[in-house]
Amino acid sequence: MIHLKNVTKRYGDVVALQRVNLEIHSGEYVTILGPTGSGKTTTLRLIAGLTQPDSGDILFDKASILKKPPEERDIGYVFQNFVLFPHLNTWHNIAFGGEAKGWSEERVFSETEKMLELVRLRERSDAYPNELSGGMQQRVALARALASGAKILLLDEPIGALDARLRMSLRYELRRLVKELGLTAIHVTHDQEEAMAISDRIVILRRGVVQQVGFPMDLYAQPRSIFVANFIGEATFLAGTVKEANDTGSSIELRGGGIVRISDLAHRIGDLVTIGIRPELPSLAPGEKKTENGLFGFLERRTFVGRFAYYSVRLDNGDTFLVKRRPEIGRQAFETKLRVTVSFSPDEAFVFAHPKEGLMAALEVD
Amino acid sequence: MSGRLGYLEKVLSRPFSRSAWYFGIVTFFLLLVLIPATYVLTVVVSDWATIDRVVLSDPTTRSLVIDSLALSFEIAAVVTVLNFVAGLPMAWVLARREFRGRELIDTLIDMPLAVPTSALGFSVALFWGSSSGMGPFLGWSGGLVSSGAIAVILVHVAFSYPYMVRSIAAILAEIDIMYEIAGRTLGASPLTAARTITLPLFKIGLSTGILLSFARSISETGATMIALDIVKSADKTAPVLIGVWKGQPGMIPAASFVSAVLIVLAVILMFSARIVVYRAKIPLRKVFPHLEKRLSSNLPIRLRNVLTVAFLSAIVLIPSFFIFAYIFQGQIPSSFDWSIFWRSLADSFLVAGTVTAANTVLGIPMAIVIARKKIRFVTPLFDILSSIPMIVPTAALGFSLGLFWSNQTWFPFKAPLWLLILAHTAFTYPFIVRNMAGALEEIDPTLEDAARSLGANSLQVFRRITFPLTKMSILAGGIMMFTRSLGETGATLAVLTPEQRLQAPTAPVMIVDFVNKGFYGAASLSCVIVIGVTYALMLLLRRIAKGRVVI
Repeated sequence: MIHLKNVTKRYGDVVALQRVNLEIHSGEYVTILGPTGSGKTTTLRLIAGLTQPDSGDILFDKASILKKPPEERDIGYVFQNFVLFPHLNTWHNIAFGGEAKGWSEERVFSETEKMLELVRLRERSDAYPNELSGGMQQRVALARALASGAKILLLDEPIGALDARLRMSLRYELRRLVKELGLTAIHVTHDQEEAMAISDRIVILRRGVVQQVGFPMDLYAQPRSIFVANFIGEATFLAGTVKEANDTGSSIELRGGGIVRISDLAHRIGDLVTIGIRPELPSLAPGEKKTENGLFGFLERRTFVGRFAYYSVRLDNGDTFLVKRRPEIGRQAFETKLRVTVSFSPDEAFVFAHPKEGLMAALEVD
Repeated sequence: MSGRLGYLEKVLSRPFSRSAWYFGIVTFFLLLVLIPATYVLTVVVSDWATIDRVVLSDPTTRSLVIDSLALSFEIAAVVTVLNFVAGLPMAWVLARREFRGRELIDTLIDMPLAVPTSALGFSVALFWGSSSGMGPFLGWSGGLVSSGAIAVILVHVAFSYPYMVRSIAAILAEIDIMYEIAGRTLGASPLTAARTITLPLFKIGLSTGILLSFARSISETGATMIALDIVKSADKTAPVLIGVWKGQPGMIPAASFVSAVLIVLAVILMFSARIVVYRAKIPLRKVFPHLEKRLSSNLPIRLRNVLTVAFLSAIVLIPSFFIFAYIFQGQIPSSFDWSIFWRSLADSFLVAGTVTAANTVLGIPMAIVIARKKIRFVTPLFDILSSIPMIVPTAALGFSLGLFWSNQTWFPFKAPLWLLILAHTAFTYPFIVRNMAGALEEIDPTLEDAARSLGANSLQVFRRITFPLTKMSILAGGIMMFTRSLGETGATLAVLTPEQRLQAPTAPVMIVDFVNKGFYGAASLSCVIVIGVTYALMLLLRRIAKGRVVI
């Protein structure tokens, strides 16, 4: 088990990590997700021993490892740009860890062969890094980290440098290998889809502070902050004031007009709140329809991206509402400037206290 | 840019002008650098009978030749090993570690670089080998060192150690530290990672540093003569022998032979070094985890740091600047005639300035030809040929050059000053070419393509894109040529006869002469003057460049 206890790390005046507490169980595949500069890589580097925390402690199986240099932590680190040794071929890159640790020749040989097999690179074992494609380099980097006998695999955007299609197939490969070998993996990424697809649990970091830790589904369904709601998936955010509240829910008067009913019990009359609605949940109908939580507006933009289409609706109160639907292939598409009604049910919205720093600041990703 | 100049630029950028331009560059290189520098080889081959009679059949001369060559190579080998062993950790620390006092060490290491070797050598030789140096201080009666070879080794280490450190540190800074970090995460101790990952990655650069250190030691003449003189040693290194024999008409064939041998050995050395580096797996792949881990711990590292700094202070810095202390005890007779020294100083600067200007103009196009592979199949050949003058001992080169030009009856410029300029041009030429070619290889050629696509002709591309991006390297190359020319003794002694030397004296030769005649006081004052003037010039140039220039 890996345990980060109150870890703080500063670079000069910049706080990279602030009192981070994190527990990662053995055999778990955990993703650290956050925008650029949120402290993800710093977290990995601290666990690997490539940098030291200013305060706090890091424990492996209840023993502090802060005094151990990286080479004694039994970790495997896969770097974003792979950092394969350019003067060594595939075989010797993979064998490096075992050799450095002074294993017997037979053990180095068998481990290296096993890993070559596992990442299916036997026929390229004599090739030098510059002769390999990006995907192959990634597999060598992974095999090299695994062959050093690591029990903990640290992956720093391990597939970020590859093209989109390759990324899709490699992420399942990655998870399969980690699970097969019974390793603990910490995977850093800024790609929320990748994180959702691959992880047992996700840690969301922003500006060096842990925002939320949880299972992918929970983070999606119950984000604890506006930032998380926006960063995991998308959402439309509408500001308003609680007008009525009882034990079945509350009514919220939107800024600029319109009243919606939300099944939220946490806020009181007079509170300033922001509600968030996932774009795939609401329904969109032409004309002005009298339905529950129906908001009127004009269709401003329609974006077809293949699997679905985005509709951007300018509500009468001035806000923009995003709806995501299956595209009308073979059907009459909604034209822009069309008068439409957007509606959602009371349990489909999240409610957050209105952020003091303002909505835009709360959503900022840098 | 005015219309007429713009038109000129356009005309000069046309294919025909470009071909003429390349032709000129190559002609210059062959006629002024390569052919004169290797002319002595043809003399030795064509007049083998004389060589056989004067050198090989005469036991005294033969043993002088063999002893001097052996001494030169032994000294160079010891100096290079010392430089490497002491220089690698220093370069490592400078390139990879942040610590208090780094800036200071950085500056201190640069200081001996700008000083002519004879001035530096005088200081070091006095420190170790004279009764006014370290000896009496430690209770010795005379100098600490009385062996000629050891005195020369100490002098050579003092002036070539900074080069070794600088060149290794520069290459180290280029190597991504991530490779080493990746090695650490895979279980390698710091020492293992450095040895099995970083070292192989820069072995080519390292071998260049080693080769240059070796070549410089073999080539050095002025400081060597001073050191031998101060410890009263009768030994002679090969360049010293050439310089001495240049003044004895009967020994010219012998000097030719020594020069030819030096040139051939230097070229063989360069090629074999290249082959060895590419083929050999120098650093073992075998790992000794426990030993290397123990050596990576605190105590050995602290020990290494202490030893490195001690070496820098005791072997390089203190002896190099001892002259500033000595100057107060040196005696100068009031009747001493300084006029020839002032003339020599003026000559030195004149030669160095002319050579630097000429080579800057002529070397830059050659660098472009090499780096941008302008003349297809001959480019790699020029690449190698242009670095030959850098590793051939300057005395051999100067001797060959003097022989060549004195045999050309049609050649009008035979005044001593002209011969000096020609000789210095030949051996400093590689510095601008290598520096500029190196800088050009760093620049993405698509930048030049982009400028061409925007409508710039090739001269405009050079003026607006290439030059601004490489000017720091040009400046560094210029400083290198200038200081090398200013400090050169070997080529000067070998190209001019003793009578000619009096007509065109240069400062380092004068210093050697003063030491030779026992005027230590005058020699030390001359050294301080030369050091002061060079240093002031260096500071001025750095100020102009407004940045750090690594010499």
